[in-house]
Amino acid sequence: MRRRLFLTGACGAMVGLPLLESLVPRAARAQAQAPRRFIAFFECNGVNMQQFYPSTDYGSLTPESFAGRSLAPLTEYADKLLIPRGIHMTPRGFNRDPSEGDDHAKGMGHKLTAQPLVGSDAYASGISIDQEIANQLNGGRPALALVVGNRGGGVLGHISYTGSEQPVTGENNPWLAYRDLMGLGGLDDEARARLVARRESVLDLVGEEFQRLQSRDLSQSDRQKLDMHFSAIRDLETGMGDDGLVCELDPARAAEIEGIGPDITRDAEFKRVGRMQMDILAMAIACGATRAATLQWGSGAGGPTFTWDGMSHEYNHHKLSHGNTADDCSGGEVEGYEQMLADIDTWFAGEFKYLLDRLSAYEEGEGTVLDNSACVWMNELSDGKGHDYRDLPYVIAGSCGGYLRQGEYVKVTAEPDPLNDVDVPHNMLLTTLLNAVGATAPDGGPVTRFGHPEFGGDGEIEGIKA
Amino acid sequence: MLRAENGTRSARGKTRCRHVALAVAPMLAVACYEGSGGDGGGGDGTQPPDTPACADGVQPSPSPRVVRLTHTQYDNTIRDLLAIEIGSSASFIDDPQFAGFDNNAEALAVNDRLARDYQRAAEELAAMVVADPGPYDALVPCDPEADAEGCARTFVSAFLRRAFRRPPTDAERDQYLELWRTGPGLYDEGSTFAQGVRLVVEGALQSPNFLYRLELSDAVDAQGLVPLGGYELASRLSYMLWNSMPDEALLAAAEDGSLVDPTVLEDHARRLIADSRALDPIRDFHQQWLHMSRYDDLIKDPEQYPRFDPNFAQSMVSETQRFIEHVIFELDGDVRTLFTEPVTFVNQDVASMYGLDETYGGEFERIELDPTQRGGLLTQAGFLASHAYFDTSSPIHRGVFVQRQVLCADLPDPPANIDTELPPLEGEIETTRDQVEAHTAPPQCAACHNLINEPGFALETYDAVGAWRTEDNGFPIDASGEVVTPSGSFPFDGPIDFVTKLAENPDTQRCYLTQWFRYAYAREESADDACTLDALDETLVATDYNIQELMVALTQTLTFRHRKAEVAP
Repeated sequence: MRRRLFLTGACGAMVGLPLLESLVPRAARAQAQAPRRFIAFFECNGVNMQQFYPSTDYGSLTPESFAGRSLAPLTEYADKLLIPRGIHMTPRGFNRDPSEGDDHAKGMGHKLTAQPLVGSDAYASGISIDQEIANQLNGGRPALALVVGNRGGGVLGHISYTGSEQPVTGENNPWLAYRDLMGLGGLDDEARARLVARRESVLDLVGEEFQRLQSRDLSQSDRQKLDMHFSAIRDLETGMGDDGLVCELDPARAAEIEGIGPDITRDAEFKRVGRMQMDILAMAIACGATRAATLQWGSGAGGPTFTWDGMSHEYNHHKLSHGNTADDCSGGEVEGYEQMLADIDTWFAGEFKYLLDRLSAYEEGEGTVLDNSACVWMNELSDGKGHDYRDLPYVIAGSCGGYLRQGEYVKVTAEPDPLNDVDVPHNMLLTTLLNAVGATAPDGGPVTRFGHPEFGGDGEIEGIKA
Repeated sequence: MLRAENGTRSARGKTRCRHVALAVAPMLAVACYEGSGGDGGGGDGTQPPDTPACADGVQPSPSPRVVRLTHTQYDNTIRDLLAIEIGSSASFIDDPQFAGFDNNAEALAVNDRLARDYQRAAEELAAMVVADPGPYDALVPCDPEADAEGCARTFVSAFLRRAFRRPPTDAERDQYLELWRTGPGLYDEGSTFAQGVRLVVEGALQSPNFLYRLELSDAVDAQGLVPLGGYELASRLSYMLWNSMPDEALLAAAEDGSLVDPTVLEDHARRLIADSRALDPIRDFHQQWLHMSRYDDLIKDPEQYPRFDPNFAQSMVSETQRFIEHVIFELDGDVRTLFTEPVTFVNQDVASMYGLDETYGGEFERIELDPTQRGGLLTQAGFLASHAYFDTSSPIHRGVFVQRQVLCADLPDPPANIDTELPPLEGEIETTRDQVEAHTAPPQCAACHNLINEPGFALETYDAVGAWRTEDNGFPIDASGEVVTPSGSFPFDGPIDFVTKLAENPDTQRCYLTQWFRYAYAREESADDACTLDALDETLVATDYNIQELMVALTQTLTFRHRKAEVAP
């Protein structure tokens, strides 16, 4: 079955939802239960905690909740948001739990894995939930991993893992990401057949070469390298068949993406690349190419210098998070950095809204793709200046097919102050999200605990479930 | 393409906001040795119990047999193999840095993303080869009109010999010949012969035989070791000394068997070092060892340092790289020269940091420096400015660098979440040195800071941008003290006395060797390598640690030419 979706008007400045031309076959719409998805919108360097959260009490979110707050751009989504307070990272930071690397490393590597970092690279020691979901629900495809900005090497550049010390580097070039997703869709039938034939001939031959090497008496680590490469080659092959999905954007938007220059990592392109990546991500989620996707904005301890949308900062996001003119805090204080951070948070809220708009633009069943997703804005840290791992900022949009509560600001910790590391480790959120999308434990029952067995806690966060 | 010139990679290795000053760290502090009187350094002549006895002879170490090309090596190899220089790896996923260097074999793997990157690059490069008569004619040295099949056979054999860095087996040649036969009709342009060539190039560039240096020899010799074959040695040598594939002379020496003779290997090593291609790994090694990526993005107090500009980063890197090249090649210098030579190379950007008022242009000019103020790497602008604060020097940053990078001291990271604020300059605290001494005086700090602070104090005569000074905050600078090294200690009086004694110190020289070992062998040293390092150290002491001789000596060890018979873990 080949499904085609066209998304149009992606760059239009119109008010409200962009125009959507949905060509989803009737059969797909008639499915009793639409597929449920997980999306991580991942930001680094923490937030200005004083201005981030709703100003109203716990309970229903209303437009007043957002007035004058960093989340203000999300006001119109008030009834589709869930904002939990009091979740702390596990393994815990500040060296409370054993894990390699510094606070930034942990903030990146722990976030989707809930596993300690190990080895001299300080990579996470287990799979992340996006890849776990993909393993169970993606029919052989890995979860989509996209990056805006530099693809940093090392633990600071990665949030997605296929296994222990197996980080997945996200694609930061929208055109390459799009080309991968649309497969060979852009070619006419004859050109497509020739390209498939060439690639098959090459991969068949190279595959045989790998198999000959694998039959040699090699050390475990040499063998692992060959196995990993060989399996990557096999993935290339499975992506080429005629039964591959075809996902396409509106041709005008596709042409813009193709025209992206080589400067994709420059700060000046941060917003433009981000929007392209969000169009691609929403398309991939909507057309069924993946049930899980991550979008990582910048890297831990990095990030752009914001000089657009009313901001004219002189220092990059990481420096501002420390209120300092140098990345290693060896500089002077940046005057007024707190407001600059709030402005950055507000800007990210606007970009999160853009993603929600894209997801809402795809109709599905009685609702939209957003309704069948858990689209989670999460952050490496809470207070960036202190590298704090407690009271992590999460904003969850979409109920994931009715699994999660909507329109609520909810304290999930039993402690009076949400800034604690007592009772709600973040692996419980990951467990909840896994069940929300329909992943299961090996026995087919619900997942009861995700992450490392010795860190974090059992079960779901009941307070966020519908 | 050098890392230094690649903006997208330069951010790596930068220090994060880790807190540098130390507070309470009783558990970590024990890792910092107590000095020459302690028992950690082996300075009293007794062997620590876990050191293998070298009297039994130097043994080779287990080493990885499947070593992926680094991105730099990929680009250089494509340049030498296809005569196409486009830096394909700029769009590859970055290589990880591991144990100090980004060429560590253990960390170089190929995941889904990189396999796609390789596929794209192979398709693009193959298209370029057949579109350009220069590279194409070099690959196809025969006339396909006369005998297409015969010419294809010639092309495949010759091309695979260079792409795989060894002759193909008959079976491999036949497989690629079959690929050549498959090509025609699969492209919308080009002659049938060229279409076959294009598909062969696409295939070979995705082959594990091209993407990895494979060391598959497994015959055990009389000593129970596995000697590497000639072609394997040719690749080890060329990737170590050129970061690229073997040239025709090396392949010929592999083919006639002469390369396994250590004297022939040595001759080739010297030949490669004398070639300009040797500059690539030499620059890459020093770039990573000296953390030159830190020179980027420095911000200095404009009130105090009005002439400093963050855009000087590339000039500061070029200055130090040009100096290193001068020491190694023009002076045929030794490790001491690196740390003491009172000469540098300046252009309009960096001249002001040496107090030079003459007008300089964009080109670098060699200048003699005041030998009472400057000598070698640790007195150059880039290092000093990148290991300093916004508005003051930083003895702690400089001291940590000296201990870790120059002396190979095993210094733990500072504990997280500690107070980094130095006490204010008031009362008895008159200088930066006073601030650091007061702040790190508590015993739990002192265990490590006894090592860290002193080398930093020696460099207090250089301000936050590396300019010479005699006063700090209006008070005279005390740049004297005593440095504890991993196996001893020495007193110093002023920066020149410090760098001179540091340069002559056996720990410094051995550390420079150890860093080269890690880079050249693309792996961390193991316990088995201690005797190899001892033997190299002994050889090099006899040459006064001449750097070219050091590079040659690394090709002459048993572990360079052999591997341990048992499979590495």
